[in-house]
Amino acid sequence: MKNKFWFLVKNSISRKVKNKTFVIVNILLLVAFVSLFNIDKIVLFFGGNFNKVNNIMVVDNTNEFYDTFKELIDSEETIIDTGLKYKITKKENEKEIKKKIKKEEDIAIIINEDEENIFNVKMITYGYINSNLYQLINSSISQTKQVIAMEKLNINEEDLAKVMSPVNIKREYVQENKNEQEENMEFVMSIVTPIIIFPFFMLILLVVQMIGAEINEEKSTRSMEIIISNISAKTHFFAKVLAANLFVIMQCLLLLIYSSIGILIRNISGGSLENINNIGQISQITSSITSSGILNNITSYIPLVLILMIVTLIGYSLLAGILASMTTNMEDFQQLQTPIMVISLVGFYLAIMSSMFEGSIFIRIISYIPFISAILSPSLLLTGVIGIKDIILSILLMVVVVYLLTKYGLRIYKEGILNYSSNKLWKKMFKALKN
Amino acid sequence: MLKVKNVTKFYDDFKAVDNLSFEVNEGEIFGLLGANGAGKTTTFRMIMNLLDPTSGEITLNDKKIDYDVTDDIGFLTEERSLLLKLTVKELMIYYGTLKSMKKDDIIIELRKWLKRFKIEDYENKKIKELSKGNKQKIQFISSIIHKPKLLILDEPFSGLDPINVDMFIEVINELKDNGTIIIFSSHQMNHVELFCEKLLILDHGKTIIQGNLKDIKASYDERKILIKADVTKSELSKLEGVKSVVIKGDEIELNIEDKKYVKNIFDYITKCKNVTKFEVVELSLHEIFTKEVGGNYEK
Repeated sequence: MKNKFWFLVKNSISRKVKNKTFVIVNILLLVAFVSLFNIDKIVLFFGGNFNKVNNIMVVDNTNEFYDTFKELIDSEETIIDTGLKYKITKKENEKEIKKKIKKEEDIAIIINEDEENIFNVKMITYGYINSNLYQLINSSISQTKQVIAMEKLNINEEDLAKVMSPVNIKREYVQENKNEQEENMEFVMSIVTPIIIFPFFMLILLVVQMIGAEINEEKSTRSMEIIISNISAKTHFFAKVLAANLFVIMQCLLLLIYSSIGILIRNISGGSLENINNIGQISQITSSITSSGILNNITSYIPLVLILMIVTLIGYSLLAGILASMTTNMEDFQQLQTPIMVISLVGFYLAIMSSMFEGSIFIRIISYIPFISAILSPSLLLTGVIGIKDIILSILLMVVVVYLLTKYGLRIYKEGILNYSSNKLWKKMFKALKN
Repeated sequence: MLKVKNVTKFYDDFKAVDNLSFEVNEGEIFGLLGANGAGKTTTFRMIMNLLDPTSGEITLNDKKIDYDVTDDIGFLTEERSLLLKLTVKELMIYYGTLKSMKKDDIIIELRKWLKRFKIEDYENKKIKELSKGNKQKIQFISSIIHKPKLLILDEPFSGLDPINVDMFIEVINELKDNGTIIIFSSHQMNHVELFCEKLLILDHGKTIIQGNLKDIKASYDERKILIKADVTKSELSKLEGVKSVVIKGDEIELNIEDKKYVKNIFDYITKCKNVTKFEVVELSLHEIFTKEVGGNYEK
């Protein structure tokens, strides 16, 4: 019987792996992952106008604005870090400057002063301009205005530098496990979360679908009678659950290998990303992930999160197996699995939105709920909302659910697996639970 | 020997099988008959260890049937139990391994049987691509590939043409000669008559007829007489004991109430001209089945 169990596990995985769909999907995943980690280089490879220089032409009718503005825009750029290139020139003739605006990179700024010595600024562009560039110009003009105002108030250069220098904030935390690096990583974490959660969500779908499809195929073709006459329903059930989980873990490892290939190709191909203004942010994210700072942070939680995810996957697969045993075809199973999908979807959306409701007790409580906990907890853990104790509690709760599903679900499975009628189905299942 | 002893099966309050008992020896073919819903499938499932009897006992060679014994049982289900996406070879490896066979032995046996059934080219063909008859052959091979001691055949000839039916009958008889215990079920009574020495008819879970086919037939006094002679239907209808007269081609079929009237009818026919046939036949199994089960069918 033991050999038959392992044969069933092996056979189940092998049938799945030999399936053409599996091969095609994995080729597509490999391409997608390698592309994702090298998106900037792919964009560069196909070319485009990445080196455009914005031509900022300034007509300074006040004769006191231009020099300060030119000086301050560079220092503002170091703060805002738009990554944009620009050239600033002074123009004299306001009337002719409009004629020089012939393309999107051309920007005219006309500075005037009214009767009350207040600066008025007009900006003329070819069309819409980049919002970062607009923010840079706007901020620089405001800074220039302040500097000129302070100069007029006879504040000397040394004092002016002191006033203008940014305030250095030193962070302190009452909770000992908090640090500034983690606080600043929140942005990166909010992007990393979908990278962890979305694949996990997909793996849940995969495990539920795999078990449902296999059990229904064997039921609908009546092969189940032959199979169950040779091995017990219990052996069959656990073989299917184990096979589906091993397959999912294997798929997970393949995704990691695809990611590694993507990173490897990125490292081998080298190249600078600085010259790509428009996709600088994407490069920043991919670099952040690969530069191991975040990886170090995640590493400390990995074992617990992995345990929670594996126990949850087992829970989902047990539930899928039980539901599949109650149905007689794939269409029925699709209907019956809807609640599973809804539960996992709730967890998925809460994980995405969790950063918007920081400190929410509701989301924290939801994070303990079995089946949702593995989807929601990692993001809360990374952002410091919950700690290791909470994860351990979630694991324990999920283990209890897995135990109950194993004990009572098996009774339903034994009853349902050879049942081909949907007549009085729930009554039969409740009766099986009582036996 | 397969022993089914006082077996009863309830589904909630519904009694599907009522105190069923029979025995089948090695090298015997046993007919288990009944209309739809009579309790045949429940009985097969209990023999196959798929269902537990509510009471009673089923043993094969004095061992209670459990997962240690089911490797010795072959089961050809009425509804085809084939995984359509697999190839013939993959399916046989799957089913054969579940019967504790080794992969190499499965392939050797599979090739032998594919050749016997003249479908050796189908080894790597997907089941879903096969015709109904060939699917049935594969199903049959899957039930005998592990050389079972007990073989259950539920409607084995479904979807087969007469040539393939003969091929199946030949193999079944070979298995019987080799000592396999065979339980056979079919709605085609002529097939049952062909090779079942012993049979049992179930009706709503109860045994209504059980015994040797010859004895069962002999226990019915009604007879049919097949006549070829210059005689009219109206003449024959007037004879004592004649229930009905049916003209079938150039033959006349008389149904008589009791075999005791045969002599009188024979005397009458001998006086007719051009008598070329006078044959007295017992009721067919089909007729016995209809007679016994037909009345209860709508209940």
